[in-house]
Amino acid sequence: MNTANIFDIKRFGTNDGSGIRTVVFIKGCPLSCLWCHNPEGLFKENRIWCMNNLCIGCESCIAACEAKAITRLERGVRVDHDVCTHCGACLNVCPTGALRVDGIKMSVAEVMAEIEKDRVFYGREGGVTLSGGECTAEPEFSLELLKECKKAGIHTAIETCLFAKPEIMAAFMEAADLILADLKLFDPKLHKEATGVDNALILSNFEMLAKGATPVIVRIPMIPGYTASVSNVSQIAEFVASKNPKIPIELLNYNPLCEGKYYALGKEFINCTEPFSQKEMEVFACAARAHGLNVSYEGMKEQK
Amino acid sequence: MKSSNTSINKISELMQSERISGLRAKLFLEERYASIEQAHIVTEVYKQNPGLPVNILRAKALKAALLGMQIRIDQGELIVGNRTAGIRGGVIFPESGLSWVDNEIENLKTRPQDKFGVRAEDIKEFREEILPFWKGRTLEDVLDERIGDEMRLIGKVAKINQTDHAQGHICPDTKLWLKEGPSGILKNAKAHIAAASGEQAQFYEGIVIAMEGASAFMNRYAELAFSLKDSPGYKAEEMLELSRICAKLAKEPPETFHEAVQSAWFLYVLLHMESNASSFSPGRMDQYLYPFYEKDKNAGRLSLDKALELVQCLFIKFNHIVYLRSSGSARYFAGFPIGFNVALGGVNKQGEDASNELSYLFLRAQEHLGLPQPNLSARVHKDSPEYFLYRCSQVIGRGSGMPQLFNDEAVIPALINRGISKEDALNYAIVGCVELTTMGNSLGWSDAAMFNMVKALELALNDGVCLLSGKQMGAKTGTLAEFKTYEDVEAALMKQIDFFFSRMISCCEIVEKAHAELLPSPLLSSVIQGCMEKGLDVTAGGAVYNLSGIQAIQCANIEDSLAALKTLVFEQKRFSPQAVHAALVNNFEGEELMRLTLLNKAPKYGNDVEWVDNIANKWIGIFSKKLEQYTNARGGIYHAGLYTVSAHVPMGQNVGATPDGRSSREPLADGGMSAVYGRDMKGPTALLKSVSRVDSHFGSNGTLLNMKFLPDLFMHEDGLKKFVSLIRAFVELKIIHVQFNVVRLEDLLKAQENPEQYRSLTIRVAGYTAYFTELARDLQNEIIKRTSYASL
Repeated sequence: MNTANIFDIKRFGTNDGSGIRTVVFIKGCPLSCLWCHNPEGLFKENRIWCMNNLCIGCESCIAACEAKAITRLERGVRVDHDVCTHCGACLNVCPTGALRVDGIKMSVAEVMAEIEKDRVFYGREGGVTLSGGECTAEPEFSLELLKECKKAGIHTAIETCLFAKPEIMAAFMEAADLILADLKLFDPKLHKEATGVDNALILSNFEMLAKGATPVIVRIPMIPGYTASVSNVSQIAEFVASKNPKIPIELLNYNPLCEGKYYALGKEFINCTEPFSQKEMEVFACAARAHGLNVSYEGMKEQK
Repeated sequence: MKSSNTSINKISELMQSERISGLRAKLFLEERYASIEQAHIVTEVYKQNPGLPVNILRAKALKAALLGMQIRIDQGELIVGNRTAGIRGGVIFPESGLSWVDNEIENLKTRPQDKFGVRAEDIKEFREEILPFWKGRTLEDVLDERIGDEMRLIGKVAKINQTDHAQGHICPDTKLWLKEGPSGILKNAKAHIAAASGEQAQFYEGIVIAMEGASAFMNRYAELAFSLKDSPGYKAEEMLELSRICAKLAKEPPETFHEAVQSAWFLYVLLHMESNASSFSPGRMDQYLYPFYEKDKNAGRLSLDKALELVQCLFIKFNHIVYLRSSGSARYFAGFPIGFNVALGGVNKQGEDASNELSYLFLRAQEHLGLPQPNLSARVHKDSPEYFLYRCSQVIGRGSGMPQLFNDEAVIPALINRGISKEDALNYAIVGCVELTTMGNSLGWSDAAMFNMVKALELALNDGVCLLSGKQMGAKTGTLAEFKTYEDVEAALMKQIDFFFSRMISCCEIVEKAHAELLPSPLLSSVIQGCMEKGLDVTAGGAVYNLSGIQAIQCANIEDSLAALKTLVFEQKRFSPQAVHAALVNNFEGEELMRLTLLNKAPKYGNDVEWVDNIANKWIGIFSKKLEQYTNARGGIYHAGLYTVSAHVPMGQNVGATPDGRSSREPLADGGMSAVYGRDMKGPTALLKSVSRVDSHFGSNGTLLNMKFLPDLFMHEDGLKKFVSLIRAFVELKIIHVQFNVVRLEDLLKAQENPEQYRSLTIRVAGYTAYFTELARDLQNEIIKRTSYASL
């Protein structure tokens, strides 16, 4: 049975597909977007790190670490990943749970057991969404998990950056009931700068999806200074409309909550401020709607 | 989303009239006063009639009050009647107890919770005329003499209730009242007198007197309305119609929808005047009012707008009566909940969906008004229409905490398991906050006592000695330091529970008998099935069903504490029993690392961990089964409830440090079935799974689960549909009850800063809704701290 490193299994997911969903976050991603909301998902290996706001400075972990991989910071501690042996001694002694490992190696069966816990909540519409990281970067594990879900009668969705070999993408198209496809930047040069990869493969994979039978929703993250421009949204929408005008677009507002994760991982985060207002989001939505597509964003229709 | 019924779609879009906006605004403008008017009348009747049988005396006192109290009709009111002339008056009721009033009357204006104005001349009359007469005669004084010492001895573990007020928490047979009216009941009682003698004849005579008073009361409103027809601000047409209705109801049963709503409201006012108790519950109003609604609508006499306006007038009336409690009691039951509990939807006699247009009218009324009363409940079941659940979700999303949801698939089997007939179980309603009852034929005595199992655990770990006072309180069962295994802990806990159980039951029995002796209730007895047939007062066991409920408090803390001992102390041996015992005794002084480890390194209730949740189920089961061994003073059974209302704060203050890492005097988990705040880390689905592991049969007296959501989910149709899925799962998981607070954290913080601007912000406290700004600061803070579930 296949295994993968899983960095979170989020229950009661309400933003990644229809109904109530369990979202499985798989580690490792071929892209390295500057704004990535789940930086712990960028790399495959599991690492130990510290939620510094929970750390009380008791230094139990430092005493417990035989490899001497942990050093004290003014607030919290830092784990030297090159020295750390993953023995777990520090995790065990940390009294607050501030130290945590950012992923667990799990088998398909173990993940299925977690998914089954919320079976009663899925109803006809809900189910499972594979996210990451990038689920297509662990194709054997992800495809087996999708197959198991299907066998169990659970609706499946994947959330993907589309940067995968076409034959792998085709296999996912076959295996999933819904595809949430991220298109970030249309300009190849800007795409390469911001994500580290060229977008030719992504766009050609999208063409394949657009012709297929599996329902697709395009999602564009609205990152100030990067993706959030009228021209970018318009170009993506024009591209989508030219391939299949029935595919809807969801605009995902910028969410600054991940900044703390970057701090914990000892990484720099792009200097962003506030999410966009509803009026600003409406401008981007109009730019996309101009191409005849169904466009939505969270908070679009307030309840009267 | 739309319904396939066009009337229902129209109902969901009806607008609120100016009349209703005006009446609603007026609720907040008038200052609340404590009232001794009825106390004065009752005292006179008791003084003038020494030696009369007490039920006759009570009936005469009620009749005198109905004839003599000031009454008022406000401009714009379509439904009239109150027990004080002022809005939200706090009635001082001498028969049940005055010693707390004696201690507190001067402070009612300034106490931290539920303030009332008091007039200086009233204080004088209270001290000179009323108090001296009642010394030693009240329920409170009598019970204090009989079992005061015993109650104080066991009180930190087993708190005995119903000791200083008359018994409410009952669902009268409003359907019968609408069929008979006071004159029909009077005729019926007179017919019984002919064949009765002795105490039975006296019983019927009491009902006759009460009904005479009831008719006279209605006639007084008829006269007042007539006299106001030409007064400025009143509409002649409306006053004449009101006058006609009140005069008619004094003699005959209602026929129109307006008459029926007015008749029902009169009944609840009358019951409050007889007993000044909390919760005379209307129950399934959408069912028994429906024939009146349907007849008028079909005859073209009633528009949907008018029907909504009448329902909203009634809703506003529900807020005119509040219940004056002692400051101690107000801490347990903050925000004067009065428990007009209305249950919508559910199944009918055949087990099919019973929701109708009135159910949707009531939901629309709540959506507009968002007031603390009625305590609106929706009964849901596996075949509840999608649109009904959708409308419930929309109204919940408005943030008033209502409707709370009750699950027919859990409640009906739990009641049948307690010996309730299937027909009565299918027709269940709710009294007070969350207590389950049958309609019109039961005295459930649902709050006989609260049993603090967490305190019992504290004693079990410390040889029966209270950690807070150092006093020997329970059985000598050794200390944690001497225990060798986890089983030793369980054995000690069992002994502590046994130690308090028999003492608690004896006290409850004496309390119930004192009610029958001092506070027979002729008017109430006339609208509870069984009493008229048996010729026996409801307090003496006249009802068809006679249950008593005792609350087991609190499964989350018990589970978390026992799980921490089992895993960290006895299995992993991270801490020795001696070290943990010493830390508990010292309230974790100097042992913060241990406290945090106990808190964070053992599994907790609310996270869908089956073996841990089985601990709660085991102990709640033990508690529930122990109760089954006893019979109450009225010949009925005891059963368990799993709710605390807002008592988790004061009850927590009675408990020392516990092995779940909770420091001394901190609140317990709120509600009853909720997790300790902040400890349910896996979201709402995991919490519901944990809750579902406590067998719903054990909580047949009622359970309470609080969940808090941010408003985002309710903003659009897609989110609402997801919420409906959550409700469907709640039904399938057979959880008895859940209620939802939907409120922004910023709003609560702002309301604390600027209470003036947030006077109408209502919040679900426990089993009821109160004005947030009227809650004491510690309770406000506690609500802010409770978990909220953001979406991803």
